[in-house]
Amino acid sequence: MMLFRGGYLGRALRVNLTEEKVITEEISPRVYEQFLGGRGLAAFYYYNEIGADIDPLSPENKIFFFTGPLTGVKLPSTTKFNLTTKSPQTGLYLCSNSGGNFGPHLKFSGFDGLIIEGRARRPTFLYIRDGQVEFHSAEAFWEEETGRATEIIKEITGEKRVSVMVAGRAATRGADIACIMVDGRSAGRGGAGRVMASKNLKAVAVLGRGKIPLYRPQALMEFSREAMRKARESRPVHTRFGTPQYTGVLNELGCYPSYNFRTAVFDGIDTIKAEYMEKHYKVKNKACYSCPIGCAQICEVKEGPFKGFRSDPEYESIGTLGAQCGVADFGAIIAANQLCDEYGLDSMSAGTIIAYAMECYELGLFSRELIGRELRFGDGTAMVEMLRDMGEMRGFGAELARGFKYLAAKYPETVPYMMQCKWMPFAAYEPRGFFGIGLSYGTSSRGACHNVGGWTIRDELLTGEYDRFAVKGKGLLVKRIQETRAYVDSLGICTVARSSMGFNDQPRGSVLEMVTGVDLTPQLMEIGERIYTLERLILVREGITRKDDYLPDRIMKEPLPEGPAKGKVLTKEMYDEMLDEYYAARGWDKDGIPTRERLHQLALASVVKPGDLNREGGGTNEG
Amino acid sequence: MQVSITFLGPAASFAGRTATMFEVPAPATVKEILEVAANECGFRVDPAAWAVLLDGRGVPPEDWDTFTVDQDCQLTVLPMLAGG
Repeated sequence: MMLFRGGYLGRALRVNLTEEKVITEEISPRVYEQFLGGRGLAAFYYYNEIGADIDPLSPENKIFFFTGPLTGVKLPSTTKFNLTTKSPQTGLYLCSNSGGNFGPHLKFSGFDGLIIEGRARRPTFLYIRDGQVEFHSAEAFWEEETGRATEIIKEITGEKRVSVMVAGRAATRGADIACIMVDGRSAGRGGAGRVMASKNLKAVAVLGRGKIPLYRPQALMEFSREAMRKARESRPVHTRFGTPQYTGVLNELGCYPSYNFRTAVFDGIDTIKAEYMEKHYKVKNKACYSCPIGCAQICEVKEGPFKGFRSDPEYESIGTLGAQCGVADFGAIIAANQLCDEYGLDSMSAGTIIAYAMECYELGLFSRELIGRELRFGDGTAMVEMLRDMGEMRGFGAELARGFKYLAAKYPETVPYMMQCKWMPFAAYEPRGFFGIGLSYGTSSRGACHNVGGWTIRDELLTGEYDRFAVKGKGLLVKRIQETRAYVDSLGICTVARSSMGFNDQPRGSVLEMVTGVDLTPQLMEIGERIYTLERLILVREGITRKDDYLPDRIMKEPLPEGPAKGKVLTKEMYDEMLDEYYAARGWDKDGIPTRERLHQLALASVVKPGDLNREGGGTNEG
Repeated sequence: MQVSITFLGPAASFAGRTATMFEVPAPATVKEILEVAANECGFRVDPAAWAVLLDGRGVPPEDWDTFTVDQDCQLTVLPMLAGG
């Protein structure tokens, strides 16, 4: 077993809300060695503790918060922590990461992880102060919006520096697409906010003033200085424009989903792209913990119907609340984004679901009486008002905020207009414009997601190795990117700055050794594969197989009508070819189930429960 | 040979224009072409921050000083995509 001498604290806090009981438990070095931290560690705990039959909103569901060995270390963008729980939005495994200061402060408090279980008897918030856990009443501000609730907690604790992870009103009123806000950033997807609220837990505040042990602190300081410079100099576009920089680029490439994926070129692009945002709305940058880039673009509406709204919309929010809803008014996007943050709604899910509702309304599948208002593409005011209804959980908004799984059961005739996979709404990238993105959505471990599933745009466009409209090689590409992302999410760093430390698909450098005393760098891709395979085993246990990895008919049957990708469609035959290549590369059988042989190769056989081994489809590579 | 360059998305803000066109002696490497562009526009295309497509196909930064062009071409400069 490896001996770690830094980076890790070696223990997690387990908080049982039902009994108001707190346990500190050791984490075996063997588990770190196999699963690294963050997302990997959380998947390990989830696999062992959350059975397939557990209701996401029951006290038996748990939330696993884990940092990585680099979280909180003075290196570029070591801000990230991961949360994992069973999603009420999809009914499946959910992993989600967030920036902000929560992860670093959890480690400064002496813990690598926090496990929340049970259900509090009354509305509660937790305050973890230098390792001591206090239970406080949240009754007085249970329904407050996230920003106000954060202020109240800072007043109660008397600490302005405290990091607050909080669920908003949408969560406390039962929205399945409710996120968790963390110091203005979010663990957005899958409805983790709803899980928190179901436990009568409004927030977790943490303040730590301890130190993270480091194996070679002097060498690390020198490395950090250079890495900070590299990160800053290599990302001037992120500093100036943030992720909205992609808006205009992807539209030019014909890969910018608009009007609920009916087209991939947006006719209102000029007033929602980053350059317009900078000129008319940008106020300043905002940075997460230890970040030299500061990619968040704080914007404010200075005139018009949305005057006074202020938020920092990311590429995804602009895409889903803007182009997908046909809204070209950037003021409306800023307003909608602020409402999502304040109510605690996943802006990506919210935008994609409103776009679906707009299409259903225009097709006559949803009536004006049902919706309570006109809801047409391009109407920014209607979009913002619908978001308000979703956040307040009133009228038809309360139905939309339950997500696609709920809506499919209630309105089955509208399923063809739901752009989702495993009930998770698509992100703002068009699979018919980059075929690899289609496979990413289909095989992501948390339902349609470009991050967990693998953001293939860079490789498909910039390396010269791929034709973005071809299927060959995409299975291998997606696998490689998924594994990279799995280990990066487990280190506790932001993907934007990771290259400055050598963390790509050929990991290099010695920073991990400087921090932990153990050089796991050569094994990082294998660790990534182990994590991804364990996540698939969890999904298989929850009922997922090949049949669930497909995309909606719109992507597989309707050619794009215009732009550089005009006529492109990702047919079932094409998709099957990618999926077969992907499963073969992963060592999964034709039904998408990991084989016993691959589990042995990845040293997972000893981790996996015997009953789950028997789920293999034949147990061989023969398919 | 004639080279036309399109500055895509935010690249246009850094270059102060959406496109430019100039003559360079053939053959020339991508790096040499970009140096001419830098003199034209006052915008240095740093390989850590920016990406290049040659006639629509990506040329990775490590190939810029070896990849040779010998006929009229279209270069596209865009941000080095760093994740969603």
